[in-house]
Amino acid sequence: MPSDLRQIEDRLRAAYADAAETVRPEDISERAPAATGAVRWRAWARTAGRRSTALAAAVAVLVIVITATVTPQVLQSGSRHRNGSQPAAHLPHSHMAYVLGGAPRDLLIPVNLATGAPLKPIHFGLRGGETGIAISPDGSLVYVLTVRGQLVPVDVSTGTAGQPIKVGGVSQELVTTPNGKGAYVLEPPYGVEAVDLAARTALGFIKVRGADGFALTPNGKTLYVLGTNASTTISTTDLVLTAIDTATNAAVSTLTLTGPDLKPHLRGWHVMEESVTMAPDGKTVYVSYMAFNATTPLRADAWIIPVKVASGTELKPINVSRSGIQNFTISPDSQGGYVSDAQSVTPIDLRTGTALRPIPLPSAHHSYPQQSYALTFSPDGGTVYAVDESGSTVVPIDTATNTAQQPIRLTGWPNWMLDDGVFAPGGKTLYVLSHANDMTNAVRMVPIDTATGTAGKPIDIPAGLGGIVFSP
Amino acid sequence: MTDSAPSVDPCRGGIGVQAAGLPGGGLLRQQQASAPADLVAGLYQTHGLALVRTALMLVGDKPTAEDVVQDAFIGLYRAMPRLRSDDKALAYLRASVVNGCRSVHRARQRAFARPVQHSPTAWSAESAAMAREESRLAMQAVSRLPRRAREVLALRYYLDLSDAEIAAALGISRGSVSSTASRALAVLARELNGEL
Repeated sequence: MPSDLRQIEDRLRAAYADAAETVRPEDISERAPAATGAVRWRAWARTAGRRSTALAAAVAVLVIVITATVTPQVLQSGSRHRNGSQPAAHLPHSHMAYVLGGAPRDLLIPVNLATGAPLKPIHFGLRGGETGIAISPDGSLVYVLTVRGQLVPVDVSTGTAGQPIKVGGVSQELVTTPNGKGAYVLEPPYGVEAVDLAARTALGFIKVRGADGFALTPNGKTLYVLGTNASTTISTTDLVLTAIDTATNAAVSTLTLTGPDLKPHLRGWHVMEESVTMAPDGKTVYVSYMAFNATTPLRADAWIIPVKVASGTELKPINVSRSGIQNFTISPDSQGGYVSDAQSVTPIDLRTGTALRPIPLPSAHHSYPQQSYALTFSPDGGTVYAVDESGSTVVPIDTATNTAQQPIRLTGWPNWMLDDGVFAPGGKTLYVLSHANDMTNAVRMVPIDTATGTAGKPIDIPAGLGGIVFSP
Repeated sequence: MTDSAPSVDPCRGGIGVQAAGLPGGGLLRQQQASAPADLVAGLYQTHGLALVRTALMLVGDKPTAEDVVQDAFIGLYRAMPRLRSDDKALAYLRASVVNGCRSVHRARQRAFARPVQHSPTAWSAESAAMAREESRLAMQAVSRLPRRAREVLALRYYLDLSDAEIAAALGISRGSVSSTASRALAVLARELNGEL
């Protein structure tokens, strides 16, 4: 019986090491030139297509495709727009979405929502894994964050990228202030970088130990950073919420959460999937996590801890699930929320801090049992849409009665795997995002008219999904 | 539960380069002026074995793993003239290997149309490649996970890559890496319950 997660990890490492031993160094030295010159490599490449198995030949062709399509981020872009080779797009400012290609890409795809057509991609000229995207309040600039700490402003009206703002080390998430003048970049596990977007310069690094997520108040005055005192994410057993005053970019308070199973070095317990979510009214910030204990008997409890913004005090924790929190969304009026796990969606009454009875949802396919439902509130709060990440359905849930409505079935499964739902400005059209279940990782946006519950013509985009923003 | 420490593979994650007194990626920097073929050959010497082993984790059998890695190196060789910086070469190779393994799985899924022969997996009952039963069972449990989970676990627990590096190799966010790993570990904990 595995006694905890660390033992599972150790067993995995041992199993991988044993499996690795089945390939001996001499096995591969016979197949490739160990130290040779160009002639032999070229000969090897030429003869590769004639190797005995048809599979090898097929993969060789695919590698050429990979070279051309999947890994451009590691290749020198021969047509960087800043050199003028990428023609200005002269894009409209409204009814647009911008899809950030998943790493490794160097692609920003404008999508005209009025016509349902993806437009010519914008290459912003940086490689290294795109991890964040944001749009200015007026829709004129899109900011792209790369994992290597470059923040690139892209003028979407001309399709040109500005000089990257160097923000630091490994960068993972991006949030912009409501006035569009500032931004914060999460650099786990060390802290956050403050950025002056107007001056296009980094203001400085704010150290937060174990930083793993952040949330900004709607007024932009306070940034909450979720961190930990533990040295590694896997062994986290405590959570610390740090409030940063965005006027001074200094930490003004730290709160070590005391929720269930949150004690430093508590034997057998690990905290996973921790995240921080701000209520739309800005009055409460919620920290969610799953406490996992693999000792006998196996236990996994998911909790949400409300923290009052005004007083910085921790309220009574809400026990929401026994199998983790895959998604947590809060209603526009901040009065309620929903969490999803692998089996169901659970409504939360945030006024009383109680979890209600889970809503069983149909799942069309069960080959990915650990997948979950992505949750998206309609802007009026009347419906929350549960996107089945393992199947092909979108289930509207009436938030007044907490009952599932007739599912909206999308075509394409299993070639297209659903990811998430996001509302375009105006609140009438829900775009369901999915990715191609193959090496292309192409993105599909399916517009759903929420008034009728009908799906429109899919918009297929030849890029991975690194993020999406809509013009205001 | 095993208490034996996993053996250290000198070919993983640039360790071999560090052992030679160079920082990660230094091999390429050292040979910057060399011909592309020499650079690729050097990379093959340093990382070829680890990449074949990684591919084995994803496709299950050695011949296919070797084919995938060979083709990844050929792809790298063709791409070398356009490669901007040395430390990207390894990332390129990792991404190519993962994508090559995905292609293999797709080909196998289409086997009903045109049968593709492949060897039994190293951890299958009909293979005697893995001697330790508990490791074989663990690998069988891993093989039942979805593709993304298998990829994340192999890159994290065999290649010892950081979540950021895994995210870059798989084209997903770091959050997806973390949540995928967490869910996979939870599934494995349940699957392996009672086997130790």
